[in-house]
Amino acid sequence: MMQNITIGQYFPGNSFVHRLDARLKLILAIALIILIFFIKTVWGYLSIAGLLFIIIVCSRVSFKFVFKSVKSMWLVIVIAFVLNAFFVKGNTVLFEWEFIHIYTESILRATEMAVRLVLLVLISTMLTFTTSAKEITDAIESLFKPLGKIKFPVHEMALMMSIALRFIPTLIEETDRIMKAQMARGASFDSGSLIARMKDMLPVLIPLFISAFKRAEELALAMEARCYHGGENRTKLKVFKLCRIDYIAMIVIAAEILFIAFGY
Amino acid sequence: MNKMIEASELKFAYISEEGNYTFALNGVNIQVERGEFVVLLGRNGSGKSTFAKLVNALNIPTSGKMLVAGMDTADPENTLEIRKTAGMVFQNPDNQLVATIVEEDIAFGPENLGLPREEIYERIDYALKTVHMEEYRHHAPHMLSGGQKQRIAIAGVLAMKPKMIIFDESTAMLDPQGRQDILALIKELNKNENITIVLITHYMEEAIDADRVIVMKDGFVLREGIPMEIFFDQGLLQNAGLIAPFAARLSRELIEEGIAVRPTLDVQSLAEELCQLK
Repeated sequence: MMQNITIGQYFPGNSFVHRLDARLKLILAIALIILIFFIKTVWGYLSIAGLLFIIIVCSRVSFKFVFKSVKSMWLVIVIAFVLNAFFVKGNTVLFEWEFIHIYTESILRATEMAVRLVLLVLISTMLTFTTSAKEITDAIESLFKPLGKIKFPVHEMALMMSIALRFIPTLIEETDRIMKAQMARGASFDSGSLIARMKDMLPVLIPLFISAFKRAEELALAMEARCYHGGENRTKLKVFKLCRIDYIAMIVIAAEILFIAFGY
Repeated sequence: MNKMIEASELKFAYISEEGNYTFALNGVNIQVERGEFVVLLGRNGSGKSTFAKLVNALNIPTSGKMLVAGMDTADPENTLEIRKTAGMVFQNPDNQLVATIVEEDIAFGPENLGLPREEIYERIDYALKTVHMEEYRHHAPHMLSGGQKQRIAIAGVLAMKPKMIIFDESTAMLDPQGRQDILALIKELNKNENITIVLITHYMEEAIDADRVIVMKDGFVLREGIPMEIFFDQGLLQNAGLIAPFAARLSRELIEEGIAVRPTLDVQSLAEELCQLK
């Protein structure tokens, strides 16, 4: 059922995209995503697309998976396109029928929206494809460390996040299993109204929650048995350090930002 | 210090919210020597898992004393050192892996110990090599089989360089092949790495090669002895609700039928002996 989710998946590798400092990668990805909304010309879009193309090629992640993750968002992209096409007003009428007016401008605007969404998905996909969940949460922990000074539980939040990510596939499997068990006893999940269907999910959610709590308890024991005692005196397998490739990446992205800032 | 575990008059009670005591251990004396391979047998509710949690200082005795490598588990000062000395592998491999990449999961223990990263890397190498999973270093644990996941869990414990590992029904959720693999690995750890093993199990077959078997029932130690003694003591097995391994049952019944075979726990040697009967 949910086996072919690619969002949030990680493809181990040793390319320079993988080796970039995760903190920097996170910041740069966010910067690029914000940047998308400031682009004014086709050249701007082309430059970012080109940049992403180079990143994908360098990361050696197969295009098939990249495409798959964009595909999984097709509905959102199509809806954004249609909404923009119908509701944006312009001057030059391209097509008219009864109350529907479609303008050249609205089609352009809709395409731009769709392109933006595709780029957005691509950037976040490349971030998670080349950075393991642990690296991302470690990066967040490291970036938010200053908040620890005002007693914000940075380490605990990061740990919770990484465990949540770790258990997503396990819980998906479990959901699948519970649904099959209910189906074997005559339950159906794909018939009836929306409300009826939501009600049908209840017998799945209850056992899922019970088992999740049981898992949490066992995991806590296992973590304690492995000497977990909070964030104090804890070392990290991966230490963040900026190296040459990080500076190069910074310069490239800075150049891209300048390019867009100068009106492209 | 040659005693890994010294439990004397050990009692443990789970306390309910209303304040009722339910005793899971009713005064247990167990000693485990360094380098031993001990198997704890007993039915559900016999107190064997409770005992494991007491060894690891996950629970503190209600009364009596539990010394692990000479350290009292009741003293919170010792907790970390005890958990470092006595690693523990649980039943469900899914619920003891914390990271999304094998390497990062194995690093969890050493990270908690505050080791420098060069040493953590060395320990990951060592642990993966010992459990024969080197090629899975960068894999995601949820894509592995149950037996492989359990190997990773063992590697995670090995990375802390423990002197002893307690396996709390670690093979119960595996298929027969996975179970056999893990058992073979446990024996390897005992022989090659000189790690003291306490194996808690329902599977009598896993106790055949143990140095010593401890049979528990209702929070008491019923008997301890070498496997040959335990598995040919009908009264004891019946009392504890256990069934002897296949070879033991077969050789005993053959002897009762008047066929001249030696009592044995090993299917292979029984088969050979039967083939040579005239």
